[in-house]
Amino acid sequence: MSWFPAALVILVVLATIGLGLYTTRISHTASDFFVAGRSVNVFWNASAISGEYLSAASFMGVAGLVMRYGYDAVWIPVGYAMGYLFLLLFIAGPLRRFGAYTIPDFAEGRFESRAFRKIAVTFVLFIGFFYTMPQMKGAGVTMTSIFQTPYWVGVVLVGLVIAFNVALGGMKGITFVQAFQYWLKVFAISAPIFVLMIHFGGYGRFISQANERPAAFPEYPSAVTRAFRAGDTLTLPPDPDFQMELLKDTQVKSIAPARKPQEGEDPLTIRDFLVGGDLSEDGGEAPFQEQGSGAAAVYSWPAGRTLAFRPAMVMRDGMPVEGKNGPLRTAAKLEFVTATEIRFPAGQSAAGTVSNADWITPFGGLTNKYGYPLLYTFSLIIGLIFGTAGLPHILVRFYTNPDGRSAKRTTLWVMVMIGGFYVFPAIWGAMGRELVPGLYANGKTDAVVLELPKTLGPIWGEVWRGVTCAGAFAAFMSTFSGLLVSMSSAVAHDIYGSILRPQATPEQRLKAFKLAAVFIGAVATGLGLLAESYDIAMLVTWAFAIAAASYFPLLLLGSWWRGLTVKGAATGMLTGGLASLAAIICHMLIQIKVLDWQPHPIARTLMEQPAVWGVPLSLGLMWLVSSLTRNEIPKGVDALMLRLHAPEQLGMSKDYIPEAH
Amino acid sequence: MAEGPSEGTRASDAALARVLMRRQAALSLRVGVIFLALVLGLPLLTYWRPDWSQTPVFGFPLSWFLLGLLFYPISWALSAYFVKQSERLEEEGVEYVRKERGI
Repeated sequence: MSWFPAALVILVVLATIGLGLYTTRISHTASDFFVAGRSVNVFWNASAISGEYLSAASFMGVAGLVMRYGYDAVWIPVGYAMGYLFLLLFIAGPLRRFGAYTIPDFAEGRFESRAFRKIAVTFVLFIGFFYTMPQMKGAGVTMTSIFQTPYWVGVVLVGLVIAFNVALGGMKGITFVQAFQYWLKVFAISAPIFVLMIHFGGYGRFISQANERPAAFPEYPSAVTRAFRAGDTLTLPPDPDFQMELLKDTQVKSIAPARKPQEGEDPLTIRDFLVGGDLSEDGGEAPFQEQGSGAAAVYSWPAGRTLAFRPAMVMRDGMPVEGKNGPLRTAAKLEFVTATEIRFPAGQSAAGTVSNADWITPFGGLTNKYGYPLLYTFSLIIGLIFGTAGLPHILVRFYTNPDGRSAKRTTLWVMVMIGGFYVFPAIWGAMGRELVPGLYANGKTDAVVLELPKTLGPIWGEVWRGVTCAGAFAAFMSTFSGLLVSMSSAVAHDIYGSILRPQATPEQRLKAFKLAAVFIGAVATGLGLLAESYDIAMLVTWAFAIAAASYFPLLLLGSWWRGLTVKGAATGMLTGGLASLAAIICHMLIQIKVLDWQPHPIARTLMEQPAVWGVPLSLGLMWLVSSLTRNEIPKGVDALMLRLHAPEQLGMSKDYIPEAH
Repeated sequence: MAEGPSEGTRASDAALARVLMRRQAALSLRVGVIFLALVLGLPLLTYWRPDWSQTPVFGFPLSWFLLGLLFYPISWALSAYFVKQSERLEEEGVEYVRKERGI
């Protein structure tokens, strides 16, 4: 039955491409398709918006992040869904009444400035690339799970197939295809969960089980073999005799305590952690081969050895340090020098995770990693709920609403649809923790929606795994295609068509669009190869934070404050957006150890989650600079504000772009 | 682009826009503030009273139940309230403008 997931995935890919080609043939643009019919109602339109929104991050990444971090990560799906409330309250109605489809259109029309359009378009690319990286990672992880190919094969294959498909015009965000994909994704995320619940018990059972045994770790239901790459780290659980069988020759750089050592404590070495590590060689087999000494020591073992580890007692000046419950102990953390494979026997606590208490209570591993959990949580929430309202590829979809009133109703439906979806990833995470804890060891929690169905047995397991693989493909295909279309349009229309060659003919622009699609697809593929060590959902969170500090303030103040000037808008958007981008890139470089810098923990928190300062910075600068340049308020602003806010019955609204182009 | 309605002066455009916007903005702000208070209040509650957040509700700790399940219906209720009120305000706005401009 292992052919089944592959067959289902190929079916979904062909169906999506086929539907796209078919609907493109019967209608020239998505707008034609929609407006000509007039029968597409709020319900289908909301399905289409939801279909484009639910990306690989929603489908795979959130479940993986909840499995890894527990409660803290549940904020992420909540934030993805709640962002639509702010979109509804402040943006949806005015934006639709203005009739601009893209944020660069809005930027140009609101200020009557073509120059500002060119500035505004840059963030389509910044946000777009951050958003495509996790889609590519989703592709790599899914292909690895189905075909056992290396990570890069999936990324390159999927990236190129979609890029060429977009370039050939086969998949232009057609309402119908996106709506179909929403329902496919909802089915794929929910149906397997109901089946799993029938087999293994309900959501509440998994959560309460973790809540009742706070000190415990999830246990391996059966023996698992995991592969590690050079440089991977592995945190061991505090079992008194944690065993692991080395399937390959293994080298470990340092055996550090998992708990951060305090000033003045005695250093711990391998002899403190390895059971039998303090035996001398004449007792038989040497416990390990040691090269170098101190922090630079490298320990090695031949394939076939079984090692046993225990937590070490923390000592200060030779005396045990007292914790809350007796002497303080810490488990070991290994860092692999070479790639290896390790088998963990059944029944032991899982390696690479935290205790149930740390997983289920607020302010655990995700938000408390730098010691300022409240700041981290607030910044994360602000980035997510304000960022949604500034995502370029989502706002494009609001033009399919006939008027401002239905734009609001559609948004309400979108909230119901994506909210219903987002309940499920957290259930996947909670069940994955107990049922497939092997994924923790080498950080493969992003694959939980693909691996968990396997526990249903050889036949039904493959059937349901096929369903989730198909859902994952639908997720990253729909979002990646939508992003590629909006980014390629930005390049072809705004950069080539209005900056480089304003006199270009429509044919030349179309050619530029196709070239841009292939080029951006290739860049996104390259970035996707670099994304393997980041969590899918975290990468998307960064795209949100950049959108929150650049486009959201522009749209909010642009729609509601007549005093906003082009200089104010540009200063705020560029400063807020670029500063957030720089902070995030610094954080990413520190994380993969390219940048050797140890900033203060508050600074680390603010770099990883910049929205808490980025959004006020951007809004504040817009207000300040606009107030200083008050004489530059566009002349037609009152008529414009009336157009943004007058109900359609008054006949004052007029689409900025009367028909799709 | 950007020519206003054919009748009326710029000043009356501004006045009309202000009337139409002010009440919608007040509604948006009111719902937005309630929502932000809920969303930012939950972390504060779990930070200052960790014991409350672990109270079991249907087998879930209260914090998990609120965030993982209850937040979605709350946001739907707020949105539905907003859409209903916003449509009512728009109807009143239309009435007002028709009277003012004698359309």
